[in-house]
Amino acid sequence: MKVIAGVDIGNSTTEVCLARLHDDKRLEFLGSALTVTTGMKGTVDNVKGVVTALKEALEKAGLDLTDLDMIRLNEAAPVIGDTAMETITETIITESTMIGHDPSTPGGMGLGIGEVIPIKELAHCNKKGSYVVLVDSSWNFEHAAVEINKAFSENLLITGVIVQKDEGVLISNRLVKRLPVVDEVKYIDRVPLHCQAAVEVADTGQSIQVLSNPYGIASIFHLDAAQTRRIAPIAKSLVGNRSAVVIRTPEGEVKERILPAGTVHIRGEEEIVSVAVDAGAEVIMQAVEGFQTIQDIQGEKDTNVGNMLKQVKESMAELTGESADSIRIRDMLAVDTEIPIRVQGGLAGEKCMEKAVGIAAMVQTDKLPMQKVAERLQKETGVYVKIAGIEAVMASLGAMTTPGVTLPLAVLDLGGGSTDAAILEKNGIVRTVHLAGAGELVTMLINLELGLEERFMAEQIKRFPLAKVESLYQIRLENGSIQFFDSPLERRLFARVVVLTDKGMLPIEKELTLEKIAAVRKEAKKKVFLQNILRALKITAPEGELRRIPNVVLVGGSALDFEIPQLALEELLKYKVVAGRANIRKVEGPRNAVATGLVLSSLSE
Amino acid sequence: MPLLQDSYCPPFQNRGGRMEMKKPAIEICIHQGVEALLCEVLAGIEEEGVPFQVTEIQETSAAALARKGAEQSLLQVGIGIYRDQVCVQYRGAIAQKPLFEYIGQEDTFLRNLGSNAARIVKKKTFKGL
Repeated sequence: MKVIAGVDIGNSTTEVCLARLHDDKRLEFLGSALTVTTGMKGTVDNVKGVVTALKEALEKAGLDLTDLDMIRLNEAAPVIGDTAMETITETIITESTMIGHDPSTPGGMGLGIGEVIPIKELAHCNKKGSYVVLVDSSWNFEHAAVEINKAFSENLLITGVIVQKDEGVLISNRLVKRLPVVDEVKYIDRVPLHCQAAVEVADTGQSIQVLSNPYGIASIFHLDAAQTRRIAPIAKSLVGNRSAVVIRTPEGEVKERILPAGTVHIRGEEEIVSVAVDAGAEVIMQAVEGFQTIQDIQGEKDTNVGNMLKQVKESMAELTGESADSIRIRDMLAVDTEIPIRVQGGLAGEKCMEKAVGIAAMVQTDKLPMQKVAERLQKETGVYVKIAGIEAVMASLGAMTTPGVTLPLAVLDLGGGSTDAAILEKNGIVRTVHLAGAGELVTMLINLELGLEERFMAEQIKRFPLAKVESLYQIRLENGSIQFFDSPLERRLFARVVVLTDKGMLPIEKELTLEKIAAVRKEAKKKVFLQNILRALKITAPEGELRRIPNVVLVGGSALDFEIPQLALEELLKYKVVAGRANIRKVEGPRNAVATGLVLSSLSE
Repeated sequence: MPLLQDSYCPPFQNRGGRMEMKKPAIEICIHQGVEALLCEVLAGIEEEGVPFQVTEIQETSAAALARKGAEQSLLQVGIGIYRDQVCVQYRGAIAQKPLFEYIGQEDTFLRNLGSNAARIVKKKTFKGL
């Protein structure tokens, strides 16, 4: 009779599975434990975490280290992943408009066209022509209205007003004529004077009709076909706005530039394929998937992607003591995305959605530094330590303890830096593959697409569901149900979308709807994990046929996510494949697969 | 102090001896208030486009005035101005301390206070927090 512990040192958690191997070859499971991995996976720093977890598992079973006969350690093939992003379009406005500016309380209504003049010039301007008046923050709204009304009484034709402060309604209410008034123009001093401008404000609940139409702008400014084509992006960006200002400057226009985002070079056994990053994710992935095996991937110097690819090799070199030159990148995942970027030359600090490509890359090495860890662990515990098996194989063995599975079985480890797959066939053969792109890439996409600029917030949005605070006492959850509170909620939560984290409600500071945030979250998970699950299965399935794998179980940190397993189930059922979160030994859920497998593997010795 | 029940508030009000239908509005109750403060608050509400009504009431604290206003208001929001203090109350949260309080901060604070009182009604996020 021996007491055996299976120890799995992961990138973030170290897991232990404890069992008693009876003389009649019967395995009696005694429990498990989990702790944060100490130090980088594969270094002797890990030993501290292992001992903590071992002691916890033993204590729960009423045993201690002296009762332990063998520790079986995972043969960790370290995998390091990283992500980068390249923007591939850029919108530059040279003085001509305020794209994306949509103040919440513009004043008045209608379309006004005229020459731009600052309000202080009203008293001295000549009577001919029509004018659009600029009111900067030095003017009190009442005085501004008086000044404009005075100009009306002197038969000056004023057709629109642009205001720096949030006072569109205040000024508009005091004018003798109804005019369109656009406010909250932060950089009003940048508005070019004496050019022709068009100001449009729609009725409450409506959106502008003229300035969101390229022919509307063409009519106002007498543009020819070529000029109309150039300003079409302005019209497009104003669609759905309640108000807009477009100014005609001599050289002004909107340029949508394609940014040179560099090239990646993918080297296979026999050839090198180079792909321009700005060709987009689909083209990049077609190139990647065209290879049987990738020998290495390199990026262009001084591009975001090039630097990331270089960096990920250097991290692995540091870990294994090899030289960075000998490290190989085996896989890359590219995802198309759109991110809000502050527009250059903007007058109100507005942003524009630019196309970008998010990229994840992954390196793995065959060198196994676990021997040093094993030696130190043995020394510290006095227990015999054996490096027992390749992670992927152990994960498959452990996954088999999930009720309802049969062989062939695919185990998908959805981690933070990589997506790893192992297929265990009836004849005992195990095929494995490691793919780039996992939890970290999902967080990056959420962060970028929502313009959060804060990784922590993106992480919370990824992990937890949302709710909208509807009043001081109630919130409406994503599924439509309402939750009430006994005492009023904090003011900073009022009318906000919040993330229901395990530590309380976290308000999202951006003015985004719940539906938009939830959609971005789901899309990011699909773009990364569904794509990788399908990629992994196609590579490892018998003859590349997905339908030949009846069961897929998901393990790893991202398998604990509240919606990823469901998204996977929906997608894979189309292929008649059953997929879901693993349930190791009926009690652990997706955790402890490798540790359990390590214990199980002792039976065959 | 227990939360006041949503007691029946007749939709009529007595305006200079005549009974007339109350319109939905933020009720601003003022006593010995400073004119300049009232103007800033009203500007904030007006910019948000929510109707308001100003009444003189004999109370000696901004909080009490605000509470009266919230009880009377069909929109459930009241603002109290007593001398140089301003409070915003919401009928559903009267037992707690006022939602917003002005005790001598700068003008923009007061303008925001008006805007925020309107935003309670509009269910929009608060400014300047």
